[in-house]
Amino acid sequence: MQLDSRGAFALLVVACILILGAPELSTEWQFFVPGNLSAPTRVAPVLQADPLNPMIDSAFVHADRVLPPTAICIIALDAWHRDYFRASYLLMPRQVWPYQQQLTDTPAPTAALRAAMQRRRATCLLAGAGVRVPVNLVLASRGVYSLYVLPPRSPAA
Amino acid sequence: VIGTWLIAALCTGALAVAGLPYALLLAPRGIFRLLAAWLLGSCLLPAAMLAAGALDARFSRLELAMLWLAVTTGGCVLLLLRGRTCKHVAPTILVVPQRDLITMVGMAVCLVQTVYVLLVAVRVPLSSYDAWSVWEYRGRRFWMDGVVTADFLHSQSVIFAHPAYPPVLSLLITWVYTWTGTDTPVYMKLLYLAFYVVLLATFYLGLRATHSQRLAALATAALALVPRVTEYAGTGLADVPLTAFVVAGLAAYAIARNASPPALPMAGLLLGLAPLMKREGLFFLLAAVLSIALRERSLRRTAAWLWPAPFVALPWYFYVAISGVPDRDFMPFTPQDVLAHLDRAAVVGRFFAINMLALNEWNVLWYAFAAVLCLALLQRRPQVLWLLPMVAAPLILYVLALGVSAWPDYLLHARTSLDRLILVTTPFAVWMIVEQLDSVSTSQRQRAAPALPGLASGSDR
Repeated sequence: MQLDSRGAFALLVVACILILGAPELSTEWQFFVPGNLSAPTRVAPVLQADPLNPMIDSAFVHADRVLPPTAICIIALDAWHRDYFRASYLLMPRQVWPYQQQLTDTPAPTAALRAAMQRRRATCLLAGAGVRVPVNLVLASRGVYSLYVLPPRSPAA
Repeated sequence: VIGTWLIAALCTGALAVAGLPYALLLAPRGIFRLLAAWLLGSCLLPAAMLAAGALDARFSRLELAMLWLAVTTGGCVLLLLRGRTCKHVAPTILVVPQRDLITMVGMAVCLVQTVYVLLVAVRVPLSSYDAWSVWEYRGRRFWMDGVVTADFLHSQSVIFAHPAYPPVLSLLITWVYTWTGTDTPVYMKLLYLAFYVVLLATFYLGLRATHSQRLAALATAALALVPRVTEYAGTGLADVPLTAFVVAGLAAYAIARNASPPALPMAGLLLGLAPLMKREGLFFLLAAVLSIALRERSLRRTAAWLWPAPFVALPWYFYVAISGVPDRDFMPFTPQDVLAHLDRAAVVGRFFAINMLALNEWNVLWYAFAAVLCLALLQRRPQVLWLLPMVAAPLILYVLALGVSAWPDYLLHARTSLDRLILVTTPFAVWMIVEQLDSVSTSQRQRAAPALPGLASGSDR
């Protein structure tokens, strides 16, 4: 096979591509090995911008099993917290509201939670450890985020 | 499970069937029509779903089947009115590349990467942040609600899911969920595989229009080996679908450029659809206007190629602006706000530059691009520099936009989005490198053989 200067140049380029791309292919090769995703961490050789936290997910999944589909929940987090987004995702189609819009790094005050529940006409509250929940709520499921619901009204009420 | 996979594959493929009559009418020759059919179908069906939702219809299999039938029939009627049937144009759809070792190596690399994307799509849980919290969130919500409601679009409780973002990709997810009857994300991941294949194939065809088969195949392999492109393709993010539309738009222009612009140019149509995948598509539409204006050296001819774009792209953004759909990520993008935050833009710009030098994310792409850009500027090669706006304009606009971020920590906003934003510019960086390589080798050959007339770029095609 005769190679002109253009053919030689193209071969050089393909050699460069393969040499430079080899590390990428070797990274990907791990993925083709059967069963490498069966580890509990579900690690994959691709960038995961947001690794899932199974403990948090499981708390919201438990809440999902307990709540009626029309429930409206407050979560004791601000509107920028990732776990609020995750709660909204896993509790869909229910509405989940943060207790406040502004960023905060302190635990939600009880009065603010009560006010948020009244403002949104919420019937449930998701609260993490260290949050003091309003006294009239009943624990419905326990986890990284525990679910509290308003007690059912008695027929006399 | 096999039945559900089959349904997912069929409803994904049905999008291409719905778009095929329109592609046969409008798209340039060859296999590009099939790729354009997928892209057109993947926007026409969501548009029909949105319109049906506005008429209080709810998403069900029956309704979606009727919508699909209406869209497909409408296209066939248009084809018949134009006097061209599918039968007449079908033989031109498939174009098989000539057998050549180097081309085959390039294509084999692309095939391996495509298999990799498929495996990522079906085996990795949906955990990329924007994938679950924006695109799939909304798709799942539309599926549960059975409609896109104004309540959802205006609800502050889901503002993190960006109701103001264009709904096309999420409605495609709804399309798959409705047909499969389940909101298991794995079934809608086939959409992303299709977008990846379309991206690589349209990139190849765009280059093939003016370059040799070998160079086009090698450049496509180089694009497929950019780690971020392939890593993100199967993870449920909107960036590769957006890239597919922008690349297809430029490829349609490159393929059809030697002819007069058709009455309804596919380039303008596809570039106009890009902002319906993701808002950043607006930046690329603007960049395409600059690039094509540089190439054509005439605003009138540029308008002739791109005139459908604003008619396709802007209605959603008008609706969002007029109806006040909330969003919280950015302050107003006015000149005053941008100027007031130029100090932030300088920091964000440094972030971008540092990220682009990361070999594990971009391979040597940006190093090669920097060298090529210097050479092209020194040698003043218009046949290379016309693509510069496709890389530079979006990057500059991203940096300025992230400067007016409304996040409590604007640096976090920049850090978590910059690689996805850079990703969309990578095909054009590769394209520029190809233009430079080819123009250098062509001019060398012309110097070596000045007596041979008609030896132009890509003459060994």
